Amino acid sequence: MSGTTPGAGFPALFSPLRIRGVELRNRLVFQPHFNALGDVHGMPTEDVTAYLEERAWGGVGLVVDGSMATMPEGQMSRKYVAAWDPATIPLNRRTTDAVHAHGARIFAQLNHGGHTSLEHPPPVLWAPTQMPEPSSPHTTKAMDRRDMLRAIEGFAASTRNLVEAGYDGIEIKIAHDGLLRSFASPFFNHRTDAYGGSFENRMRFPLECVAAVRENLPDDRALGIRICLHEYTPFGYELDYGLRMAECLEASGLVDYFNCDAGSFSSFWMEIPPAAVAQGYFRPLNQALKKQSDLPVVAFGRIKDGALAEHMLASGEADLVGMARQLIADPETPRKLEEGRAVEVRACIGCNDGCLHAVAQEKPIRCVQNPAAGQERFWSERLLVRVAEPRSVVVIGGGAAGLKVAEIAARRGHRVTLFERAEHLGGQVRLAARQPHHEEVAEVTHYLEAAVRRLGVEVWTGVEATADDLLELDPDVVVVATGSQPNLPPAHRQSQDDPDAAAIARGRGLQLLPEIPGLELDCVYSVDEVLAGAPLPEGRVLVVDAQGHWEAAGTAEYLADAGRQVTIVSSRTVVAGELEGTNIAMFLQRAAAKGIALRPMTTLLRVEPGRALLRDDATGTEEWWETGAVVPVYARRSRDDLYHRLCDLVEESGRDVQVERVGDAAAARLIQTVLLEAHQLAASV
Amino acid sequence: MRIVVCVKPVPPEPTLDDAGRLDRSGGAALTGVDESAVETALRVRDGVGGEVVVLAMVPPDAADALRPALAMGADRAVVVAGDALAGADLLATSSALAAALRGLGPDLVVLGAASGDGNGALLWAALGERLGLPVLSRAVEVTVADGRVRATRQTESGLHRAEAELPAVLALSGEVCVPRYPSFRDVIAAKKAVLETVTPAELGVPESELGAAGSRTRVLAAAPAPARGEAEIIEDDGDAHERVVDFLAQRRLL
Repeated sequence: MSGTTPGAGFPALFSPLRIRGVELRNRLVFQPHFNALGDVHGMPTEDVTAYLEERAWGGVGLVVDGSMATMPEGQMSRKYVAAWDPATIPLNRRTTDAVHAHGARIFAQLNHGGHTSLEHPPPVLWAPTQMPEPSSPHTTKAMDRRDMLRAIEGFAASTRNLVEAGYDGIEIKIAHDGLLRSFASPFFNHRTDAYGGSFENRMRFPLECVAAVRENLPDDRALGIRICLHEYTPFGYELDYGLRMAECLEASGLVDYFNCDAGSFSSFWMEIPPAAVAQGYFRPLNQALKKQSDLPVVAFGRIKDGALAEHMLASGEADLVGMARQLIADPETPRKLEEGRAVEVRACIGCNDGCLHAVAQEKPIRCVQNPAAGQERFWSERLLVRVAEPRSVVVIGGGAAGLKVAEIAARRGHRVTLFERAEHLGGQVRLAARQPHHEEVAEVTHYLEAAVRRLGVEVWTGVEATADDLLELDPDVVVVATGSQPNLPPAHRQSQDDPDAAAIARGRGLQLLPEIPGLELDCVYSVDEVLAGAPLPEGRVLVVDAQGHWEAAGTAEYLADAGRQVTIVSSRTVVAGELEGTNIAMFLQRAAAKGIALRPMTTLLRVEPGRALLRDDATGTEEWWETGAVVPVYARRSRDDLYHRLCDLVEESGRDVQVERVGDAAAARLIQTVLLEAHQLAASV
Repeated sequence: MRIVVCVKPVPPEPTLDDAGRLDRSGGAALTGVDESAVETALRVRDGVGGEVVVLAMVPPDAADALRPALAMGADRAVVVAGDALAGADLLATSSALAAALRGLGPDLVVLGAASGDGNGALLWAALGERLGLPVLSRAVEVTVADGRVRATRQTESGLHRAEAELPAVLALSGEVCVPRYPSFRDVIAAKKAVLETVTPAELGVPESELGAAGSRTRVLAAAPAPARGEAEIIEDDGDAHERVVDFLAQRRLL
């Protein structure tokens, strides 16, 4: 059948390409990014090897490993691999061997961190001119010529080490962070010596570093430049200047390919754009460089769809397509596309919660969609083993947690039956996807729903399971994944449609209601009601954010988009303060544009019809606030009545049934934690 | 009154093996069209009394796909299964099912418009012919009373109302009603229910008329629907909205 012809739908994506002496099997590139899997001395760990090997196994053509640091000054995090240190050679060799064994090629990216660092406080920061990078309070040391020569030698020594470690090429970062862009950038470089003043002078030091790398690179190995084409700041350079930099680098004759990039630490939401930035937003940048350059160009910028990638190649906007987050979310993306299984690809949701949020804090990389990311040695789907004796696994609840348990248990060969009381699978994710700029979160349960159906899981929707009858199914394992509900008093209207499912736990002192008088009133609306489309009464809406994540912020934005006047109060120091950096930056910009008022350090004390009593936590003053509706976002309560009843029944009956609870039914949390927990449970059942 | 609903569970993404036969190994399930046929039969039974029997010719390991019909309220499920049935086309399938139906002695046979995979939309006609029963096809509304079945039929030229004496064959026009959700107790009962099995030998039909041996057509080739990679992507040069409208208009979607 034509659909199973390798690469049938993606002829351009799966055609080989040669860069200098390096043959790539296809046009997909695992983009370089800090994964924080190195140890605190800058040594690559087995986790680094497994992380990159997983992507090579998944079919990508080229892996770019890094960034790696070229010298101790300029190591943006202690966990940046210390390429200058010969001690890394055998450790990096382990990675290159593992990647090569799967037929992929591997380059290393080198970066001197310059004026940027992830450390708090940072070590001394190097720059052409003494000044803080505007997003940081920390100023820099202006380099003298001796510093420059040391930096050049750092690139040279690192290259020698990497060549010995088996890398097929070196990519030099003149991109969204680091020293070399700061030399090239008119905003950051005010030198009056031979390294500043004119365009040629600003490019001189970056070119000296590029030349040092080329001199130490065997003739058959490739040299590329990751180039920031547009800084996206009010003060920085734009595309025309980025293209001029590329032209200058290409004219040197030292460069074999370009890898496109944009943004800076002062516009970091454009470096690693979250879902609020359209997919393929940066295509005009790729196109412009491709049009100007005779070298192979790697496209970048939130490209996750195989069809879009194919289209970009076929229409000549680039020669290769870079993906970082898509291949973090699904390492097997290339193979699935090539084998005609595009429907099985697990899409990146652009949340940045697992990848960027973790590594920006120098914590090991993770992924909401892929529980194994950064811990492939323990949780890779390649390690799942089919069980010798299949068990009957009954999953109650078809949200993210229940679906993940069903998927993994079925992949291991268990007989899985899943019950969902709603008409549709997806649980809270279905509601979350209704928030503005949040539709991609639905990919979490789209993927899982397709997977469980493909795997032959017996799925019952519109069926509410009861503990009394459950044991009649003779299950070996029952997994309770009944989720959570807004923690409002049982007298509140929500209990008409969504009965209180935590009464047993409250009776046993295992759960509490928030101690705020008036939460049972009709003017109080749960987030679930709002996102399900409940019409709110006239007047201002007060959203109470005790969680700091999208549950309140996204719901406030949903209401603002519906034309409502919204105020968010939070007793924390920052409203929505749990959001990842790029997301909160863009949320605060949108909130300002949409007229959403933010009141941090403010606590809701009481609700009465038409008004709410607020306390300013800094001054202690209290104030009655006129409001049409109050939307409280406190920690949700586990819907765990079924679990407790079932445990009691199993104990009474003395039957050999393993009862587990997973996801929000155990404790309401973010999807990333819940999916990992579900994977781990199902991998061990 | 005995109402027999003929259904065909199919995998969510049907594929063909090298011999051009449907690969039915991956989690076959009733389609919305089949569920709608079951719902129609249940409503008739709930009005006039009697029993609903669900009938399918499936590989033995796909028989569980009939259980949702039992959970909805069907009284019995009968599976016609056996190696001799593999590779059946319309002719051989209708031969087997007609024999099974003769054994069941239905007052009314209900079918969906077409199967979810082969999409032949002819089985109801073939069964009517083999059983010598009147056929009402393309039905969107059905009533049964006084030994007669009345149907509103949807055709290109409008709605027809027609009736036939029972016993008769009734074929529906797509998903004509919303299937009911079962209760948890009904699901448990359905999962425990014993499915009745009829073997090819019990059909009383010569093996030469069953399965591949009894088939007279052969699938030469089948291609999957175009992959997403072949999607048409419209670039926005300022006129993308007009081109999207044109695209939809050309396909009469606007």
